[in-house]
Formats: sequence, structure tokens, C-alpha cells
Amino acid sequence: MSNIDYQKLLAGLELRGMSVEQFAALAALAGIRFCSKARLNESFREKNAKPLRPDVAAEIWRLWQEVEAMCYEALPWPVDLSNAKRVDTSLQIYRGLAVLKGKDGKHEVPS
Amino acid sequence: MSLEFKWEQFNKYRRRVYEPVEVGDDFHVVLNDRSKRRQLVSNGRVAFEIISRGKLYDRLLSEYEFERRLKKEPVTSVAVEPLRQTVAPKEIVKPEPVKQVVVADAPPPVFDEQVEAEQFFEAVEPWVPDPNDFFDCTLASRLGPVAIIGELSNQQLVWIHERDITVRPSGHSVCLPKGTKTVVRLALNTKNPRFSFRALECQVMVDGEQKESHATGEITYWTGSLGSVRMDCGCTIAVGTASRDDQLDLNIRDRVEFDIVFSEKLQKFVGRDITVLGTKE
Repeated sequence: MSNIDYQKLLAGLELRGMSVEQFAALAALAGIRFCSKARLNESFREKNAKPLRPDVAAEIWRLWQEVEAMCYEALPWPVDLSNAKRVDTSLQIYRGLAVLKGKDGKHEVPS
Repeated sequence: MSLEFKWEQFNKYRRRVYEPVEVGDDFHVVLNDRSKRRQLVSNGRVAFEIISRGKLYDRLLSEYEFERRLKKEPVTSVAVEPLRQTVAPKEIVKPEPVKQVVVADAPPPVFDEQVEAEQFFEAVEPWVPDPNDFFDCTLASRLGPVAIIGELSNQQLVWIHERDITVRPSGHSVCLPKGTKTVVRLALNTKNPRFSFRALECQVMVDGEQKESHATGEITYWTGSLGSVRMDCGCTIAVGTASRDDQLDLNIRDRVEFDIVFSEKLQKFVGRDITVLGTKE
């Protein structure tokens, strides 16, 4: 049983301007397996959706939460999410800064 | 031999040397190029070129001044705790110069090559600030829409980009009045010789509690529930709706009105309660 809302994740990706392809590439760069673009698209389908493995789904959701938190942190300057490699580099910098600020692992997205 | 050829010949030996020349009666103009407004003056042993005012003149002068400024003494250093802490200035402790003590029966002093080399490089190399140190800085002027110029305690100038201002009173950054006190982390500026340093980070010193206020501006970036606005004063601020699900259909350059409030989670001022005043045509 999957524990994440795939439609919410898809809506979030569309809202922030990140394609499923780039998100799958970002997940691959982050070392998350079994979530290729095709596999993600299968899970995003409205009919006959094939959810990801629960552990993979949880990791994917955590990664997206981190990306969103980074977008909020960078405000008022926009973060370009159209390139997975660039986002991955930005995430590494963001994680480094979070460690310096003593907020490691607490990626809060303001409500 | 034509005049142009002589200049070409001279150009081969042309060097940029910053050192004083004593000009006596024996000096006279040996070449004069009116079209390029330059003259070559010589006494047969030393020659120098007189350049008229123009782009080259300005560039050489600014390079010369930049080199001179780099050789000046470093500025007062201050230690600062993370965000919103009052800073206490402290002087950089300079090593005392090596003194030579002559004792009557002592052997002649031996010069350490390493110490000499260190002293030489200290004199020649520019002073490089530690990127972790904060320095006192006063806002001197505004430079364009996104940059301001700060002045250090030794009158050297710092180029500060709006993006690098991390602590802003009520979300304002570039519209702050001249003389506003700030602290900055510095790096050598290699791009523009007019400013010796550029700020890696700038924190505006805030006296007392910051006021929450109301502002209008133009959308510069928007993704459903959050974005940024350039206010009428020229400062950029983050804006967002109350929640991620509460989305607004806004476009770049739309005019909006909002309240400036302090977000505890983001630890910065943000715009909330957005009202659309006018949409882009």
C-alpha cells in the first residue's frame, strides 16, 4: 500500500515547473532506484495506476519536500527546476547550508 | 621614415610602469600624434607617453588607483554571531615587526631568508579578507536597480548585490538611506576596479523592533502560490498565499498589493494577503 498522494505530487511538479522526466533524473542522481520516468508515469495515471514500492514512494516524497523547501528558502529568487543536474547541485548546496544552520534533516515547507 | 612607423617602433618597447619620473629641462616632445591625442616625451634616456583624457586614460588611472588601494592597510574587523546579533568591533592583531637588537659583543645579525620573503610578499600581495569575518560598513550610494555601494571604515568601497543582503529591515534592501549601518563578509572584487571588494553577505543593522507594513509592487516571478514582487521602492520581496492549496492566477508584471509580515518558518519578511490591483495587458 502506497503512503503518498501521487496526484498531489504531480500537481506540485506542474506548479513549480518541473517535468516528470527531470524529476525521475533527479531521483536517479539522488540514488533512488525503481522510479524511472515510465514508472513514475504509471503511478501518476488516474486509471489503473501502478503505485511505487512503499519505501521508494516515501523516498520520492521526501525528495520532493526537500526541493520545495529549497524553493521557499531561496525566495524571493526563483529556483530553476527545469534541469535535474542543476537542481541536484542546488540541493547539495542547500543541504550544506542546512547543516551550517543546524537545520539538518528538517525540511519544512511553510503551509 | 614616416611618423606612423616611428610610433609602431615605439609601441614595441611600450611598458606600463607605475613609478615617478623627474622631468627636467632636457625633456622634450619627440613624437606627437594629434589624431590619437598622444605625445612621446623623452630626454634620450627615459621616455614616457602623455595620454589625453579618454577611455584609455580613465582605465589606466582606475587600474593605478586600484593597485594603490590594495596596498593600503586592512580594515577594522568585527566578530558577528549568526543573524540579528549585535556586533562588537575588534582590531586585527598585527604581528609586531621584527626588531634588530645590537649587542656589543654579539655576532652580526643573521637575516632569515624566509622572514624576508614573507615580508616581501606581505608588501607586494594584496590583502585578502577572510570570507568568514564580518566588517563594519556604511551604505554610501545606490548603483542601478539591484546593487548598492557600501563604504568600509578605511573608505574603501564594497559592491553589494541585493541578493546577498540577508537581514533586511521590513523586507527592504536597496532603498535604505545613505549612512545605514551594516556588517559585511568580503571577497576581493576582480571584475570592477572601481570597487575593491564585493560583499559575500550583508546584514543590515536593525535598531529596535521591525515594523510590519503594507506595500504595492509588480510581480517578477510566480508559481501558483508563491513568487516575488518588486516593490515601488525597488526592493524585491517574497510573496505567497496563505497555503499551497490556495492558488492565485498571477502573471509577471501584474500589479499587486500586500501586507509585509515576518515569517517565523522562513526567518524573513514576506508578503501575504495579496490583492490584485491590475493585470498585465
